[in-house]
This record gives sequence, C-alpha cells and structure tokens, in this order.
Amino acid sequence: MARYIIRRLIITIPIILMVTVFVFTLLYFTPGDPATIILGDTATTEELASMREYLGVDQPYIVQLGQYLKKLFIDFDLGESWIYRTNVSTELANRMPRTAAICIYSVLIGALIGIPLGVIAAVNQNRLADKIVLAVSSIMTCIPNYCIALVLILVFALNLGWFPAYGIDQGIKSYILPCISIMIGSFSGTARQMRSSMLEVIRSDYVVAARAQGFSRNAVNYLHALPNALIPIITLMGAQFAGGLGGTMILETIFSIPGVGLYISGAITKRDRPAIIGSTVFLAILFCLIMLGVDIVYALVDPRIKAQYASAGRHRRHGHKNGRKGGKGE
Amino acid sequence: MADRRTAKKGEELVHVEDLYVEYSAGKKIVHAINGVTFDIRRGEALALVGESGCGKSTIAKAILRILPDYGSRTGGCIEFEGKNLLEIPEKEMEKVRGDKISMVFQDPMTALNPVKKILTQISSVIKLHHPELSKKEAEEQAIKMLERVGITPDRVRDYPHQFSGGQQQRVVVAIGLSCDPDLLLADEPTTALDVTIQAQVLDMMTELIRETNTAMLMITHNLGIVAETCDYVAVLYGGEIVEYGSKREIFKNPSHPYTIGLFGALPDLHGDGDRLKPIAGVMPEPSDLPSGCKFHTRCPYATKECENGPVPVVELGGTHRCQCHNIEAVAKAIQKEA
Amino acid sequence: MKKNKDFVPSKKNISDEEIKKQSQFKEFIKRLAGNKLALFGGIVFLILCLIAIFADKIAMYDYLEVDIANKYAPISREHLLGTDQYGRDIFSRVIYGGRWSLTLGLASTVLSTFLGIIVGSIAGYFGGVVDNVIMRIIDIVQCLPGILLTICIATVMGNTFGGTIFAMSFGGIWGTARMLRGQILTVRKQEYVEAARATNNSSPRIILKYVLPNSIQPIIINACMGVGGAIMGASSLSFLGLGVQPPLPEWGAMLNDARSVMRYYPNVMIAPLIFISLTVLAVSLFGDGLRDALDPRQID
Repeated sequence: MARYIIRRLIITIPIILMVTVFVFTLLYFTPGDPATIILGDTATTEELASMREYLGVDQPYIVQLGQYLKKLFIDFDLGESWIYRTNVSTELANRMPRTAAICIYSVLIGALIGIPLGVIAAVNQNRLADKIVLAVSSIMTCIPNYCIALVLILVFALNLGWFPAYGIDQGIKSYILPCISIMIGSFSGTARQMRSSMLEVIRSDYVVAARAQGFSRNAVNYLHALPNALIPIITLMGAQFAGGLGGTMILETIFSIPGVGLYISGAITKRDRPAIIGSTVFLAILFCLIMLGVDIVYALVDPRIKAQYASAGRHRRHGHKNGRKGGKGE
Repeated sequence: MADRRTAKKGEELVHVEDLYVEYSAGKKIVHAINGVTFDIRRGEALALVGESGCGKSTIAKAILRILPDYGSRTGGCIEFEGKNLLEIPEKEMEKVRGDKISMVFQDPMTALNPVKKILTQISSVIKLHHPELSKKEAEEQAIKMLERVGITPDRVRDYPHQFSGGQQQRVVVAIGLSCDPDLLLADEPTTALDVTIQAQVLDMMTELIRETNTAMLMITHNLGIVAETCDYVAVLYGGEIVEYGSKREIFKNPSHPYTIGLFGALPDLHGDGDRLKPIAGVMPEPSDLPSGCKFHTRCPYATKECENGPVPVVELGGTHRCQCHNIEAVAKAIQKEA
Repeated sequence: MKKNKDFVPSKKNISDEEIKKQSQFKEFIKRLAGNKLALFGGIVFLILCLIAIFADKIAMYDYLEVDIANKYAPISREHLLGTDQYGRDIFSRVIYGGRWSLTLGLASTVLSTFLGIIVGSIAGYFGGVVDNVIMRIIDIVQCLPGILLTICIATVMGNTFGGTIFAMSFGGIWGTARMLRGQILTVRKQEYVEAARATNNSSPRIILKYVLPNSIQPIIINACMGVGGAIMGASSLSFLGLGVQPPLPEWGAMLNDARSVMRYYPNVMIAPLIFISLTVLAVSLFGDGLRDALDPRQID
C-alpha cells in the first residue's frame, strides 16, 4: 500500500508538469499585450518596452516557459502577480482556508443530509418517501448553484437580514449562505447516488442471503447493505469537493469572499498571467491529491481493491472512473 | 437438536400445499407458482427439476419468505412444525431462517459479502441464532464448520475474493449448515462451478446432510445431480408440479410428456448415437401462461382437451403422480417408439 | 439420421422472435413514451426550443429596446414580467435569451460529443503512441477544475460566440473519448472485428461500420445527460461576464445584470432563474428517460 501511494505521488509529478506547460502555453497565446494591460493605453512606447523587459515577456516562448518551470519545480515558487505585485503562493496560502472551509463544510453537510435521505428512499423504494426524495433531489440538482445563491441572498440576507449578503466580516455567519448554496447541489447528488447504490446492494445476492440467514430486515439494511452502499459515496464526495473548488469561483464572486476562487476570477479578468497559472497549478495539485486520497480510502474500506493495489500498482485510475461527473462543477 | 437426530427418518417436516406466488411487474401479473403441493420429510432430499424460468427458485424463496416485498403475493400454506410459515409474524420467521431452514445460493461469487472476512460472515450467523455464545465461541464453532466443508483454519480470516469459486461455495454451504438446520434449500448450488468442482462440492454437501440427518430441497435442472443426491423428484413446469415421485419411479417410468422430453434431452453414451431430442419451443412467459395444461403449446401429444380447463392429477401407484390428460396415450407412443 | 417426428417446432414462437427483432426501435419508443416524467421533460424542452425559435413572433418588444423612462415597470399587460433597469421588457428578453442559452448548450454538447468520438476512435483504434499521447492529455484535463479550464480557453478564444462554444465543449471531449476508447478496446478484440480486418477492410471503415454502432449507445446517453450540464455551464459563464456579453439577453448574463438591483427589484431576477432551472430540469428528466429506454437493464 505504501509503495502504491509513493508510486502515485511520483506519477503526479509529470502530470503537474504537463498541466503547467499546457496552461502556460494556453495563456501565452491569449490575445493582448501584458504591458499594455498593466500600464493602460496611455503608457509610452518606452514605458511599455521597459515593462515588458521587467516582466520577462520580451523573451521567446521557450525561454519564458523554461524560466517558469525552473522557478516552479526547483524553487517551488509560483511567481509574482503582475497586478498586485504580491507572491502568488503567499496569496493562495492566505486565501485557501476560506475556500477550503466552504468546500469541506458544504460537502460534509451535504453528505450528512444526502446519505440518510438516499437510504430512506432506497429502503422505501417506490413508496411516497422515495418519490419525495427523488423529486426534491432531481429538482435541486437542476438549479445552478449560483441561482440558489442569488435566491438565498435575496431571502435571507436582503429581506430577512439574518446573514450578510457579502464579505467575511461577520465570521462564521458569512460562510453559511455560500455553504448552503453548494450544499443543496451536493446533498441532492449524494441522495440520488446513495439511493441507487443502496438499491443495487439491497438487491444483491449476499443481502438476500443475509435475510435468508435470519437477520432482520433492519439489520440487513443497516448492518449489511449500508456499509457496502457507502463505498461509492467516497468517490462522489471526492468529486464534489474537487468540483466545489471550481464552483467557488462563481460563489466567491457573488458573496465577495476573498478566497482562491475570487482570486482566480479576478486574475482572469485582469489577464494576470502568473496569478492564473499559479492558481491553476495549485488547484491541479490539490485535485490530484484529492483523487489519491479517494483511492486510498477506497482501498482501506474495500479489501478487493486493496488486493489489486498490492498485487500490481498499475490500477491507478481505478477509483475515479467517474471523477468529474458526479460533482456539480459548473 | 438431539431429538431431531433420533427423530424417525421419513417423518413429515415441511408440507407445502397449494402454493401460489404472483409478481406484478408494471401492469403485467407474473404467475410464477400456480398451486404447488409437496412434502419434504426428515432426512430426505427432494429435487425440484425444471427449465430456467419455471419458478424453481421462487418456491425456495417463498418458503423462507424472502421474496421481494414490493409487488409479490404469496398464497396457500407452508406448514412447518405445525405452523403456517406464511402466517407467522416476521420476528418468528427470522428465528426460522438460517436456523431451522437455510439456503445455499446459486452463485457463490455474489452470495458472500465481498468486504467481510468469511469467518465473520459465518460466526455472525451463529451468534445471531445462539446469542448465548460468546464471540469467541461462535468463532470457534465457525472454524469447526469451515473445517468440515474443507476450508483450513489458516484461511478463515481471508476475504471471499481470495477463494476460488468452489471454495466460495464451500463457505456458502458452511454458512447454510452452520446452525444445523432441519431443512437446507439448495438453489442450483453447483451451476456456477466448473464441472470437476461440481462433483466435489456436491459430494461434500450430501455427506454433510446425511451425517446430520438434514432434509434438503435441491433445485436444479441437472438430472445427473438429481440421480446422485435425491430421494424424490418433483418436475416443475409453468409454476406447476407436472410429475412427482420417488427417484426410482421418475427415472424408470417418466410419464409426463415434459419429463419424457427432459430425459430425451440428455445425452446417452450407450445409445446408438441418436441426436439429442430437444423439447420444441420455449417456456411460455410466466406473465402469459396458456390456459389448460401449461405444456400443451409444446406437447407433441396434446389434444383438444388439453387446451382448456383443469388438468387431472393421475395417481400412478406408490408416490408417483402425474398431471396429464393423456398418460395412457403417451405411454403407448413411447413404447412403440422403443 | 432418424427423423425426429415427435417434436415439431411450434410456429408461434419463431414468429415471436422475428417480431422482437423488428420492433426494437418501436419497443424503445414505447418505453420512452411510457415514462411520464421523461415525456413531460421532452415536451417542456420542445416547447422551450419552439419559444426560442419563434421568439420574434412571440415577443412583443425587441430584446434591445431601451425605454429608460419606463424602467423597473411592474408586471402589467404591456410588460408581462415587468421591465429591467434600462426599461427593457423582461418577458421578451427571456424569450429571446433561449436562443443563446439553448444554442450554447446544445451546440457545445454536439461538438464535444463529435470531437470526443473522433479523438476516442483515434486513440482506441491506433493504440500505441497515439493512444498514449491522448491518454496523457486526458490526465491533464482531469486535473483541472472544469469551469477554470473552460474560462481559460474562452479567454484565449477572445470571448466570441463560437469560441465560447468550443471552450465549453473542450472539457467534455475527454470523457466521451475515454469511454469510446475503452469500448473500442473491448470491441476490437471481438471476433467479428477480427473477421472484418481479415477481409481487408480499411481501418476507418471498420471503426465506422463495426465499432461505432456497438459503442454509440452509452455515448448518446452521456450526451443527452450532458446537455443540462452544458446549459447550466453556459449560463454560469455568461453570469461571470464571459461568453455571451451584455446586452445580449442570455439567461446567465441577465441574472448578472439583475444581481446589482435584486434588493429592490427581485422580479428582474426571477424570470431568467426559472427559465434556466426549468430547462435543465426538463433536459435531465428527458435524458434519464432516454437512458432507461435505451438500457432497460438499469431501471430500478
């Protein structure tokens, strides 16, 4: 197992390298001259030229790429923002706790609500409870989370005044609406997934067999079926967390929460290339670690997968076949 | 338990009378079992024979009352220890399942919980029915049981996926017999296994149930298994028992055209190299069973009479009975051909 | 060989088999039509599409018609849903908005499925280095949050309509490609494909004639399920001020406009919000139904 983890971590390095090259290249060809973007249209030709030299953007593509890669992989430095003139790593480190809090709490609370709902639906398949859960979760997954955020702001911030509409001045209260916005999507997804995975397990032979062995219906549902049905939820939660990191770009903009998402969307509007690349690489590393974490948890709870890992370290894609599908990333 | 060992072999254990099972699938009603009557006596093995889809497994699941709750209806009577299993409360039924009547499933790959060690799976059943045992005692008993089916103690803490199919089925049998049941329902216990392994598992099973004087309901489509393991045979078609008798009666003198067809579909090594005679057509959909004799659509001897109305049960002496209008005509035709 | 005169194959069953073969498509339609929710979703989606297509016939005002004197008009007979901060008729804008939102969602799904099929076919059929390169690209794309990738590409493409469609489809290409590649790897080992190769069929022909028909079903299902997500994504993008730019009435862009004034005039926000959610709901209900009808084994 330890060997497997190390293998996976080593495999992550070239992936991150490729991500960096990919994003760097993509942004290199973005229309617009960086110096003009920074100094504005009024700057003189000399000012622009010296700015270009200062930024290093007068060098050929390959030199710029080489310099950036060297800085990233040898000095572990994500560079300096063109606009704010601050170090991207420091900025991300300061902002990450806020983003992480939103993602973690919303996914966890979503799971805490979604799992019981899914179980209730599955156990009462085709009865009223099932239909209600299905209807509610189907509708909720169809509302984009920024729409939910707008409605929440309208009702609970502007009309009732219970929570602030933006900013993080009011501590934990400021995080409640953003969390709920993501959570509504994640609990619906979890409930649906939980329902179908529970139904699948309930119908499997070994659960019928447990009934035949004399276990009561509740014991079968909750002691035999539930633990096994929970296993796919791990993947889903990983995907939701990863998707949430992307989703915060919109939510943090709406709620003006100075997290990673707001930083990136600001950087994109201002064409702040180092900030965009730095944050993207940072998120990519985070993604890879989350997927690794999902796979490790998977192996811990499912002996079949652990055996696969132990026998051959080649099954590295196993756990996240559905990687991005489950989460409400957009 | 002791009284059971000394109980006379042949004493009636389960009496199934006029059992009906229906499923509703959408708007269709599936008539899975249509009035089945049979007995199982202590220490004896009854085979339920028939093609896939004829309702064999449904009978076993109906006896244990583990048919899906949603959309299935059961009627008739399953008498066990003087009570109708279809009417006793669920709590009481839970005490019957696994303890007095247990079941071996068809596919061992799916019948074992993939994320639990086999020892845990057996000992939890033992602990369930013998709450007075400590965890350790239950595990000891489980290890003993596993040894009896041929799993060595050094492997009891392995997970199901670490065993071969044959070994997995041994584990399933061990779970089935762990509480020393009166009746074992074996639902095609060897179908999913390799032919060479089938015989081993079957021998192990029959030996164990003989030792413990356990009765068995063997569900199979394999007449070879019937010949090897069972005392009585019930041939099932379209949810009805079309022929019933002792193994000798059925094998020597198959009387229902369907049974004759089943035997005709067996390869005969001593024969003159005739082609196998498959039974024409396919089993009718249980949601769309023909009226009259269920077999008349495929029966080469069918007459007008067969198409409607109830079919008489003809007693053929001994325990042998057959549900057919034209037994004599069939017998004559068979003799002529021979 | 002795003639087996006892068992005559009964005719009824054979014709049954034939009927089954012919009516696979009919059976599919029947299953789909039997699913009330899917039918509802399909009809709602159709209506929304028709509304968008005939927007110029339905809407009473032009979507750009500014009437500052009449801003924030309440709901009235003249303005069914009131007017926004520039006095533009919200009802007309929402109706026209469907053109952008639906086109973005549908076009990007079609494009990503099409490109995914091509990339997946190439990877699966040629294998080796080509496959390896494509799989590495998939690795890269998988490590990036979908929306971030879309936004980066949209920025590079200069926020044009076509560019936005491509940016949105880009993220979806790889899932389809990987699925098809997996299918091809399975299918190409099957004997009928070996046979096709043995009879000197060309590679693209084999992919088109033998491999695709056998792997297209999950791709169609995937695409249908993806339309809802794509519509949602399109509106998110416009909401962030990328993609469709104001004053065009894309639903997400309308929401972004409405955001600044929602405290006092929430009705400006409600209409586009309902239209987005309704569309996504309709599409996903229809997609679910389509999946169940195509693949009845999965029905609960």
